[in-house]
Amino acid sequence: MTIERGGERRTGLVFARITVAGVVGALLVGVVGVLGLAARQDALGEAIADRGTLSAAMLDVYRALADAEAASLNALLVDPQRAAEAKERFREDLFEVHDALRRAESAAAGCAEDCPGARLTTLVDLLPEYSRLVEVGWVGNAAGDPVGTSYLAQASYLMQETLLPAAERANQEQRAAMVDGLEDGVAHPWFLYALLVAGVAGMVWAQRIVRERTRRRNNRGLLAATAVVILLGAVVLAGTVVASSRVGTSTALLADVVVPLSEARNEARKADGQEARIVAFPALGDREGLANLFRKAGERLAAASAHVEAERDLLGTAREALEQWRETAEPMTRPLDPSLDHKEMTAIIVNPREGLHTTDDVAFDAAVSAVIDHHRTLATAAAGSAWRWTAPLAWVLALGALLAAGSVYWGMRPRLEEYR
Amino acid sequence: MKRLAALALVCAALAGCAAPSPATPTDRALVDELDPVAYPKGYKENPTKEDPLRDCGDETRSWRPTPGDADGPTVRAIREKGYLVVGVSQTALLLSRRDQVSGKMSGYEVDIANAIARALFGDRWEQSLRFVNMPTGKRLLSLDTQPNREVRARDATVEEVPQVDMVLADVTVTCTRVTQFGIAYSRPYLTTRSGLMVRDGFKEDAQGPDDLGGSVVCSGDQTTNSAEMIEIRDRQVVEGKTPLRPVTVQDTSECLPLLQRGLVDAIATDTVILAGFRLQDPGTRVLPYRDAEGTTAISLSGDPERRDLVRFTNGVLDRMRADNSLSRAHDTALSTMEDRSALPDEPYRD
Repeated sequence: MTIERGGERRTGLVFARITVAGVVGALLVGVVGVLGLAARQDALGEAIADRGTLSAAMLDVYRALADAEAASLNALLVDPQRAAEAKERFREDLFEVHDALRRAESAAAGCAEDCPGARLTTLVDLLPEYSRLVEVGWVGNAAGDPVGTSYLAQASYLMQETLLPAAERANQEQRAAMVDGLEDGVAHPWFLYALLVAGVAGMVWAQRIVRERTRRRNNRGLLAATAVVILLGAVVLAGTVVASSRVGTSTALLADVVVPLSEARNEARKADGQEARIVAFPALGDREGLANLFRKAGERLAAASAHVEAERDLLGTAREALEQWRETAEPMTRPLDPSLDHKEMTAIIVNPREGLHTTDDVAFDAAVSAVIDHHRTLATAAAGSAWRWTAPLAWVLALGALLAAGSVYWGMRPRLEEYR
Repeated sequence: MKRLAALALVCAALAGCAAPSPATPTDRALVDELDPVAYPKGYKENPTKEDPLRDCGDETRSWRPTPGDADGPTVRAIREKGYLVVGVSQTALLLSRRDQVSGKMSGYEVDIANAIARALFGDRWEQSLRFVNMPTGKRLLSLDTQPNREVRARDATVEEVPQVDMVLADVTVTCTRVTQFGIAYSRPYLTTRSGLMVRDGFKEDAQGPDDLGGSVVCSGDQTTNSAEMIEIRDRQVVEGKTPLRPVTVQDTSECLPLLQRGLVDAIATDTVILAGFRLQDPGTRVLPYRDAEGTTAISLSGDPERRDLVRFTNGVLDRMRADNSLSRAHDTALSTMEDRSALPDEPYRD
């Protein structure tokens, strides 16, 4: 009798340990899992909200800067009435640059690593200098002083060598950080899977112990807890797979369409300024550079075309505008073509072709921008969908962990009372 | 009581963590990229110069016009081509400047180019004359000469320098250029002297480079003026004086914005260019210092088979001298210069 009593006490102790281990283990898996999933969710959210905003803002900065440069040079080449219009466009472009920089700085406020701080500071610091050089250049030019041209040449050099590269690099860095954040946010949580597998193994082991000691076939609580843990693993796996697929769609849209089209647009913006530079202050390599810019814009457009599903008509419009533009400006890409004089070159830059209301560069920019905006929206929507798929996982895991812990207790409580 | 005190401490600590702190200004000294000043392309703080070839005998003198020049092979080729291409600066106020809106060029050198085009094409001269702007440092590479062809063959970046028939861009006559670029000069059309310009109020007693110790002096890259400033700096170092600090830019005209923006203290260039700067900015002062007199001429290919164009050009210049149109153009363009020199009268080499 004493021996039997001692055996029962030992069994009771084992069951108590199993119960405590099961409940605490389930809760620990829940806490660790919830923290891990929440951190990934934060990474995903930051990638979509902050990095996405930063990347888009830097694209806007680049575009507005390049537009401002073209406007500043066009104002040099046309009559006073049209110069006033170009100057107005220049100021609007600079306002857009500042607006985009404000958005970027706001999005970068919580940034912990790979932040665009130095790039933004370069832009914020040098924009007043750029604006001053342009405005002084215009005044000098209006007074008939050649020094005006020198000021504008210095402004153009600042734009080409410092401002545009800073905006471009910031965009590339933030886009890369965004893609990294998206991919990190939907990567499979292998540590959590390992914990869940360990939890299932622990339940099976506990079930076997209980079965051996009580000669009952199955403990329903442990069985339920095992089912809950397996279900949790399946839910997390399924949610992650779906979210990962959505992020794949988003990054593919960015990489295959948005990036090449943005680059095409940037090259075209540069070409617009380059044309005016060739007329206003030609320098070594300008004409060859213009031909290269057209070639690169065409290549990037072609690279994106294969992946564009919607807005194909707009892409066709962009392709046609670029071809027409390149054809019209072709004489300006030759080392020297005396068949074009100053007036004719200026006309190529500022006048639309006969029967059209806008120049080809403006038509190209508008069409490409529309396709970029559309695909950026699609990419953001896909990333947002990924976020929505992963957002409930932490809650599901928390509930599941509580349920598993409760099931263990519920299943083991009669046995604990039996062997007390 | 102890619990209350502990709770109060925790609250205070948490409140301290959450307390907002004002944004601090950026410490600019810690960030390399934060120099909010823009310099022009090709700005050099430590320019170099090639050792000048001081004396090359008659090499810089030009070739006398002969009766058959108008039918020479180069002149004929230009007529057959239908246009004359002249390399110019577009920012030298008195010599050659472009109205950016109309594209029209004006100035003393432009008047000479017009006369050459008129002699080549008669009534059609206006539509047969093309001005090409070029950076100061590379302008002489635009002539089709044996040394330039060799440079073009080995340096792809030079390929885009437009090829022109002649350069009329305030090119000072030097032996080095004849040797380095294989060029031939026309008979000089301008007497030049180097001078110095500062902002009004800067070192008011300064007379010349020896009073500009420690000052930043700007000039065009690879020009006789930058070579002179480098030589003066080296001499000042040897003499134990505080040396001036020469800097260069690709185009001399870019020195004026740098002076106006306070990024350089002085400009060293020809007095004709300085006079143009002074007209654009009355808040500047030309120092009394003058270097030795030099001459400016049209640069052409020095290849012997193209010598007919040199002789033809000299024929035009001589006719302009004879009918006084050269001195009229000279005096009109330089009318604002109080100390302008007379037209040079250099003899031919043959």
